[in-house]
Amino acid sequence: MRNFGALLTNEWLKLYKKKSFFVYFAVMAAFIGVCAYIAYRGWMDGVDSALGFTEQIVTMSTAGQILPLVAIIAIANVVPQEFRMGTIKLLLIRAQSRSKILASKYITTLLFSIALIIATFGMAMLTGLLLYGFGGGAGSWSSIGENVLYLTVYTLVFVTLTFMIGVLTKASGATVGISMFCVMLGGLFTMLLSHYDFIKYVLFPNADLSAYQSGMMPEDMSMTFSAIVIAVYMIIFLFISFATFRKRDIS
Amino acid sequence: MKDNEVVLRLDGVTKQIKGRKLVDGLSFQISKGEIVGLLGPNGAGKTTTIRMIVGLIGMSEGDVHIGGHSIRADFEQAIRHVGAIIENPEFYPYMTGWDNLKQYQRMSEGISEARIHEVAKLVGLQNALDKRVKAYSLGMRQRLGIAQALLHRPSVLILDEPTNGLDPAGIREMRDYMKQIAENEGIAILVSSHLLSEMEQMCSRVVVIQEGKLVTVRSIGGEAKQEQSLVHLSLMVDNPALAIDALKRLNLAGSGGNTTDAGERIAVSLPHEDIPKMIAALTAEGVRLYRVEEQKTTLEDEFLKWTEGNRIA
Repeated sequence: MRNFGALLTNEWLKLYKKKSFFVYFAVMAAFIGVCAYIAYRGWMDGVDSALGFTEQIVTMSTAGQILPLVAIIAIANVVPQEFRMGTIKLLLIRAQSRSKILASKYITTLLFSIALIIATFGMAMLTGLLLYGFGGGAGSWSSIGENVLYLTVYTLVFVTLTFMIGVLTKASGATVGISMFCVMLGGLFTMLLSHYDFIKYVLFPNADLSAYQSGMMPEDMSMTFSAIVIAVYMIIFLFISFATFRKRDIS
Repeated sequence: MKDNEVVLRLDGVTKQIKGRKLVDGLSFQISKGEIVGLLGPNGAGKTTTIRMIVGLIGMSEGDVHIGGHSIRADFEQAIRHVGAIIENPEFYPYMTGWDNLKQYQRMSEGISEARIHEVAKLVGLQNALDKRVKAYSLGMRQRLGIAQALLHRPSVLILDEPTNGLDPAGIREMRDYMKQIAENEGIAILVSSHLLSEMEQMCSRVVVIQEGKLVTVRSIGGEAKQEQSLVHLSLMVDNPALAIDALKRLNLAGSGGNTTDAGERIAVSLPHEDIPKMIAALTAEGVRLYRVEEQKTTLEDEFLKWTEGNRIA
């Protein structure tokens, strides 16, 4: 276990030692800054407290539009960069199994995504406090929690998809491109094909659980159903990633 | 430990892709403290072989044992005895040399930070460890490559084209390191290269492969001794016909067997002790002798013979 911790440390440092590490957080900070300005001018409906502001920021329709994309760009490189720089050759000739190495990479991408979400939440809270002070107004901890949960699920689904594409293509450009394409066209795809029954077994309409909150989901789908679909897709993505990485010839 | 203890053994290693055999039933072994060269024309399967030894590429058939452990069945136990540079040593350019070595230190058990300093000093990088690798020259990267390969005290060192892109001074330095490491620490070294003169100066044995198959295994020191019985000379003379007659009279054609005419040069093979006698005879015959040069068979000549004149580059 100490051993695996060392691998995680390694992977985290590979992300952290890059200058771009802070850029991702800066993008989220800038996004919150813009939202704060909008709220300050009174263009954001019904926001009059720190909790209310935070609740609005962490929804799928605000941070959910940008945070998953930032996370994808940040972690798309985790596997491909080893191939691009050629460091994969030195990485895989250590007394560590390929599965362990890939697992440490995957967990690092999850940790990074969660760190990005926590930082976004923290910055939103802080900004809200600066704008409105504590107490009063609308907004509750429970709905903030709910929003953060939906945001986290959605982000981790696409991060896992990106991770798999990274393992399959070994190219960071293609990985970012394909993943972004999936995020953006997922919604459109769902809309166009909504008449067909099979669409409910596709990942995209299920990934955004906040749709249940607003009552936009068809009646024959439920939160549990979506959770199961998401879990099945995640397991498939991970299975493909690990099976490919373990068997691949490095030449 | 015995000196002839086998640390690396290949048994019928085969790699087949789409019906084509890139490496075909390759077997050889390397003992402690030996430096062995893996030679072959481009596309002979050197790199594929090396990548199979370290487990980067899977084998279709056969197995590799390192320190008694199978790389296929017991990868983690086998690979911990191996240090390797595969082609150019590549590092995380945005990290310092220290951070890079630290990465590999964390991945192996029981290596102290003192060991990092020790290997850095061995390769002469102790003052450059806090620089980012992107600021390193190719020579410095090669040194860092050696440092990472030696970090976990391997018993086998595997180097794929280690002198690629190095200047002559760098190549010489690399060679000296290799010899020093093999002698002082008893590490077995497998080097692949197509620089034949390099291999000749560095290795005690060469394994020659072509089209994935073993052609020959030669011990370099031993061959030199065999050749001492006969000296191969090239003579530059004004009158080859006269000279050949004179040589025949000395029975040299019989002993050497291949007194041939090549313009104004003639080649002759004879025992070391007979050289003064031959020169005296030629002079007495009135043959003007301009050059007497020893013709050494280089590894390159041998190599071309083994691989039937296939192109090396």
